[in-house]
Amino acid sequence: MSVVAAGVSKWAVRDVSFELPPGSVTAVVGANGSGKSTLLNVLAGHLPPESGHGAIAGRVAYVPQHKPMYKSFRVADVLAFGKHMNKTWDGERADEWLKRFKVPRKLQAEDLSGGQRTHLTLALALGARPDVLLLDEPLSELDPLARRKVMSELLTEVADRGMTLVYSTHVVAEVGGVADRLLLLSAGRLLLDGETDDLLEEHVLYTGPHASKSPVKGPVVQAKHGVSHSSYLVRSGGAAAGEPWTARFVTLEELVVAHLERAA
Amino acid sequence: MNLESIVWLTWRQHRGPVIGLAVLALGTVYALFAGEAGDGPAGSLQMAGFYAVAVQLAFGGVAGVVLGAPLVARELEERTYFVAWGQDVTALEWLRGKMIALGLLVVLLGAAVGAGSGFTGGQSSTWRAFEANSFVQAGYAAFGFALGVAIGLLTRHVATAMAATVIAYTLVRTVISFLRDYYWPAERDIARWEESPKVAPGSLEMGSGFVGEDLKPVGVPDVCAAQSNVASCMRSARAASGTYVDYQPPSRVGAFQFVEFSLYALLTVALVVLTFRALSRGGGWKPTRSHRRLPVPAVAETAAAEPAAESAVEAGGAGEAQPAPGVDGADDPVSRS
Repeated sequence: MSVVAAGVSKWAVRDVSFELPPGSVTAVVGANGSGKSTLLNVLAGHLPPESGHGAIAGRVAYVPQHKPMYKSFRVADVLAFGKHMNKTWDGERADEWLKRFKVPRKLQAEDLSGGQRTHLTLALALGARPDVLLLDEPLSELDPLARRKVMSELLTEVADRGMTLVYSTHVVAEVGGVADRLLLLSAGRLLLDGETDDLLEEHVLYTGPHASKSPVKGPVVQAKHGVSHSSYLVRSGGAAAGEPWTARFVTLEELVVAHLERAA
Repeated sequence: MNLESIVWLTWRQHRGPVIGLAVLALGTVYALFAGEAGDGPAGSLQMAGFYAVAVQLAFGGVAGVVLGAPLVARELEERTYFVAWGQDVTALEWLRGKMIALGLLVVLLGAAVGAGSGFTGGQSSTWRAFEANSFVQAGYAAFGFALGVAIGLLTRHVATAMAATVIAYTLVRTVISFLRDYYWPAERDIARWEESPKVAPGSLEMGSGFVGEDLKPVGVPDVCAAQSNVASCMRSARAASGTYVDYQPPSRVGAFQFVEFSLYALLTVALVVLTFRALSRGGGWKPTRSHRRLPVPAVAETAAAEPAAESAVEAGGAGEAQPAPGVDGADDPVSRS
């Protein structure tokens, strides 16, 4: 699919094609303005692509980055709103989420903290009984402890109900140990798409004497040269390099940064 | 979206403006009828009637500003459409429900506002009280509301939509009020000097002047224009054989009111169609440029060419990287947990 940014003659997302396996947890990673929100908007049906299509089988719930909510609505009103706007509303599930995170029922949405508003929008989304939950930077307004707890609870939802979770982030640390799939975007283009573990095992960093060529075959993601040595990050699939080269796997952060630097 | 949900959502979101508009309309109705009845302290009732007539001039615009303009614009500006529009309730269903609920209310309140004229002595069917008609006021109200919704969708900003609605409503009302006199060709009464004009009382006079021997309008020569009694000069100078008056008779008030209502009803339908078409095409509710404006990055090509050499930086080394297979004795793939 491709999407043109509104009001400007440039692509917000271009030539992006991927599939979401049911029950998977997919992290959409990219720098600010890379097209993550646009991509989720298309998947949620809020933005028509210029070409191609975004289709999701089943019920979709979407929580945008800015966590929009009617300011004058009390928390209880939001639950009533969810009931009226969704054909299959699970009030207990939404209520349970709010209780778990101690969101006061009597407060108006505009009086809630950023974190409480995140919980409220998540409760509204989960109450809709989604098959696919799309979250745009869901943890941005939460403290580190709450981030861990929310992710843990979401993963429980995924495991218990077979829900598919797609969330965007520009913090790579929020991907490790959570997402089993990674979509890496830069300037609207898809740089990486695959199982997180597979991607990590395919990329190897080779360090050795100064050389103008990579010691192994495969696409070079990053090359750096010092006075007496060179290092190559290669998508080699784990191929071995001869002496005197040393090799090691890279961290997820190194992998993401290398691809983003290459694309920049 | 069923009726109960539409009513709940509409009331919960718009109860403030709805109550305000209802109080204004019902207060106007009371003042109009009190003014017509003429009982009680006459001065205060006349003033009440005056204010009520002023409301008749502006009610459609007020409905457009307080209910129409924010209807879509607020959802777009505060981006709450993300939670309102989805698989179960699409944007079109949402708009249809809201426009039916609020549109009906506005039309009913408009009809109430037009129920009286505020004038004593049964002048409600005269040109003077042309806008004191339930159909006419309902048309104004429906038009104002639809105009506000359409502008709100196009501007995507509440304050801008409100201001633009005031301007557009005033402009349209002003233009049509000038056209109104010509919905039907005016009748002409011609009276020779020895006759008296036979214009029916309560007619809307649109123009007058002098006629020549052929009973066609003639101009006033300079010599008579300078006189204080132009008619006497025209007669003595034999420059005219009589006078004429162009007018719309009072019997046409009802027909003109129907034309006025039909005109605004057509404009309303056109605006509603425009609004739904814009919404269905997504043009009106795409996030604005500022919502997702991109920097100006050079879109990198994905060729696997070797990148150019960078400054001397030690590669890797950070984090929990593991040795790769086949190097430094790490012969087996390293699992990551």
